[in-house]
Amino acid sequence: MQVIELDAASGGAFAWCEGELGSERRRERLNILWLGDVVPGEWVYAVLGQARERLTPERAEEIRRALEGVQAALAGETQLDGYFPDLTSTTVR
Amino acid sequence: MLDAGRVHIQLRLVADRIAEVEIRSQRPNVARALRGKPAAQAVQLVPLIFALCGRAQGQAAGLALAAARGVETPPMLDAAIEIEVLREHLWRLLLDLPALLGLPAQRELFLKAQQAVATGDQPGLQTVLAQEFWNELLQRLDELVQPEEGVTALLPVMSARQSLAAWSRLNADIAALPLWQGEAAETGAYARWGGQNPTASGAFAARWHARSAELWSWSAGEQKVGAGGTASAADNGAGVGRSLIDTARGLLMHEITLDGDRIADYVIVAPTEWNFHPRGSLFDWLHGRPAVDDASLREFISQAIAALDPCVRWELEVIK
Repeated sequence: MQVIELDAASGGAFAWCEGELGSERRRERLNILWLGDVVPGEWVYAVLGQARERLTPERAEEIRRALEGVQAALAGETQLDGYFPDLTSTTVR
Repeated sequence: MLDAGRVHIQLRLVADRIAEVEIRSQRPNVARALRGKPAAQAVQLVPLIFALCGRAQGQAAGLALAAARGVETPPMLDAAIEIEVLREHLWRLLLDLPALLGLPAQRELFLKAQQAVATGDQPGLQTVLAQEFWNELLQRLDELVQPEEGVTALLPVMSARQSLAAWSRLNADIAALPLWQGEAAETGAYARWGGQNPTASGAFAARWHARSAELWSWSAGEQKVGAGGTASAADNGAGVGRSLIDTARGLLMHEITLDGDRIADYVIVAPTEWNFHPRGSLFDWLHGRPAVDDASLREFISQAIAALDPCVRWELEVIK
């Protein structure tokens, strides 16, 4: 998800972030303490309401496609190669 | 968004008691998504799907693949996973638990402790652990309404090779409802700590104390193989490799079956399936318990679930 703005009232603990997967676009208030701090425009990996990893925009896009591929596979789709163009050697950290 | 799964808890109340407890852990069928994929790609997808313990999941995938290709890993403490375990414990103890006990979240202490762990500063973590706040936290824990220990077994610490004797192969049934010697078993810091409870104040406190004990142990330089962060992998023959990792929430097992360089099958047995087994510790704590008022019941369940710490969302349904 992309950091849109810090939640000033939270004193640096939360930030409003947006992301999309398939046709679904979501805005979520993420706890950012795992990362210490974030700045608007930055991309983060979000899990259970927490921002857990900083991402480059390219890596964020790669992950978005891969997750759409997993979602498609779980929905029964079999033609998946387009979803996984080139996962590079780094995994989410 | 991709649903990484959920734990659904359904209670049926009869005459102000919890008469029936149904616990279902629902997970996506990962094997379906990974089957037929190039193995190198599959091991990168897995930590994306199960990202809460991303480092442990990524390492489990990599070690299982290496083992499937004949390269075993004897039990060892993986420093990166160990740090992830400690950071998870700190998050739970300093941010989540205070909120559950009506105390303010300890953000500053959390950030200091995180820094200490990330930089290997053991005295720095000791300084944080010696703060007065911990006494207040532990005292509140002791005052909680909480059950005595149930009858659920504790999963022993084991290596990937030792695990082959317990489960010759992993499969979807084991992943959904894992059993140890035919019974439900609990995994996590409390099991790794041998079920010790320094205060004898109840089952919830014991699990939080065990997380704290792992932090103390690391800060004193006393962590050994078997603690959170322990990893191993075994070649299970015929292109099958299994890895075991002790994560913050407990034992994580991956088993990869290769067909050449592609995935023929992929099984993940995660800690949440042990700890939220339909006949595990949560069942012990809830079944037969008085449930006179709704607020107290929900409070008790929140505390019970937090003590066991699922890695996915949970939802509660109460039928009267």
